[in-house]
Amino acid sequence: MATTYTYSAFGINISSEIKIPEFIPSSGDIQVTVSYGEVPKKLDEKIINGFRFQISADEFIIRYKPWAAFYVCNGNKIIIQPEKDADENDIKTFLISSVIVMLLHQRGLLPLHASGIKVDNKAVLFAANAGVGKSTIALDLNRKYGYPLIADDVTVVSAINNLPVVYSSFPSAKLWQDSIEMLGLLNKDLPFIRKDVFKYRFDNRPAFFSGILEPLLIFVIENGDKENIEIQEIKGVDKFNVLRQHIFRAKMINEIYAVEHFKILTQLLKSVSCFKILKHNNSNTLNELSVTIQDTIKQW
Amino acid sequence: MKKNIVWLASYPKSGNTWCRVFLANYLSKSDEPVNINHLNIGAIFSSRQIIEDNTGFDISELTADECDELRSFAFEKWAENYDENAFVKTHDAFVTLPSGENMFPVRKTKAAVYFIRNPLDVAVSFANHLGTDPEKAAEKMCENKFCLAASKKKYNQQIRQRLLSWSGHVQSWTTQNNFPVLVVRYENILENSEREFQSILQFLNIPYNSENFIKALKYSNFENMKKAEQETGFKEKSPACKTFFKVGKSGYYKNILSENLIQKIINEHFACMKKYHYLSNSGELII
Repeated sequence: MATTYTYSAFGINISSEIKIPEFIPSSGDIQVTVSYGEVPKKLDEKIINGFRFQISADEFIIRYKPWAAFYVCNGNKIIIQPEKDADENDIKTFLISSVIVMLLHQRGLLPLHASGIKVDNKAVLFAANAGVGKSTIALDLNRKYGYPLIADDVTVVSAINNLPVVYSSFPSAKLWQDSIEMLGLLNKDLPFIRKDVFKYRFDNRPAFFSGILEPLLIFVIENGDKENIEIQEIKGVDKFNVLRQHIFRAKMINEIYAVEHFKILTQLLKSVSCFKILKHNNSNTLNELSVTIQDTIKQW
Repeated sequence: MKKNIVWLASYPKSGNTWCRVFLANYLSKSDEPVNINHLNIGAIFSSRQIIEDNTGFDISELTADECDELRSFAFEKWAENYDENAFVKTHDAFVTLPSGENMFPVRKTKAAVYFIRNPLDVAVSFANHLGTDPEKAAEKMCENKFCLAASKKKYNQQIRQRLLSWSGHVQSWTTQNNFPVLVVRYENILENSEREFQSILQFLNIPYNSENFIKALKYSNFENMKKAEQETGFKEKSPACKTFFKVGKSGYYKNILSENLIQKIINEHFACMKKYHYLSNSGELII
């Protein structure tokens, strides 16, 4: 029988045949299994037939050539079929990002493209497109003000008894070299997320909070073209529209999970305030951004 | 199958943007000049966003070679949004994937317009673009493995583009047989933009409308583009340089490049320069 490891991430207990050191070990009741096996060649009732992937409401197949194929079904099972000589680190990298996010969608959760911190037992999220600096701002606020980290790239929101909740993800961040320099971290011992992909894997376990939180604030960060940082509260229907754009892999899944997402987003937006921040790209942005966010948090 | 992709291809600093500004204004229904920061004329082949939006992949987890594998699919799908010409700007050389498969979506390609400019002037302008000196720019123009957006340090909105050397770039586009290519010399646009832009419209079977044409010609005039950049900035400008539209003249290299550097560039690109009339049959500089 294959060795299995048990972990907790995104509020789910996972049993895995592949070692995932980035996740937190757990001994709770298993809700999801990750195993090696045979991936179906194709889905019978696919709704989306994309580039090397297929999606139906309960199934997902993706092929990362030449590494592995992944099959995700019913929100509780992931099967990995590695190619010959596949690198396990590559397989794991795909597993803990795009692949597991499809499982989260299948479970009726709302995975947002956001990092997050814990402020007075509540969650503050930073939603942004890739490259804007979600990971960097969360880490900077942790280092400057001591807020524990709850997520780096994907933050999961759900609703319990019609109240929104945020689940922590796992204690690992992916950082570009310039973020490492801005944060004053040393990169000499940090591994790349994959061979020939020049983004570092940064373990932030000591600063991480694992658990469930009530959401407090969401900052949507975008690159602006002004000299100063601009911040404004988003209200009404704009709030819904802006956040919808930050559903993780929204383009990949199209509207398949729209009903589930709508329900959770509606609950979430009743409870949180939302701010849009337009940042500039000057060298002092990070400090200015952290101060702006800290001021807003303190006023709230 | 609809073949509607039109490549606006060039080595950097060779007139590609000029033509895009012209086309954006020509195809615009407005009487006002099109904002140079919102040209709304298709896409760029290295756009990370278009690749991610049309494949669903997070390409920050992929190697540059793996990203290249997604491009053909992504742009075929993107082009489905257009009934007629889906213009795609590219500085990539016309290369294949390491597997030998097409990197470019050739089966949905209608045609390409390839802009070529005297490499001696390109060296001067490219140096400004890269924020370096002409010697270094000329060295890059001789490197067969030269790539744009290959930084390993930070996130980039564009993915890596393989340019090859300047000659390699020209040959890759002008000798392929997958689709028709119109070669347009930058110097010819400078000399007679009306004639050259008309030939582009004709080549692409875009109906001619004299009112639109006159308007577009005026708004894409070099001095007007330069003025627009001064007023609003230009988002396509490299962060390494101060202005995108700088001199725009032909033969300006004579004020900047040393004799040695001129000779070095000629030696490296002799055949190609001769073929495109930057050198005479006897090897004398024409411009």
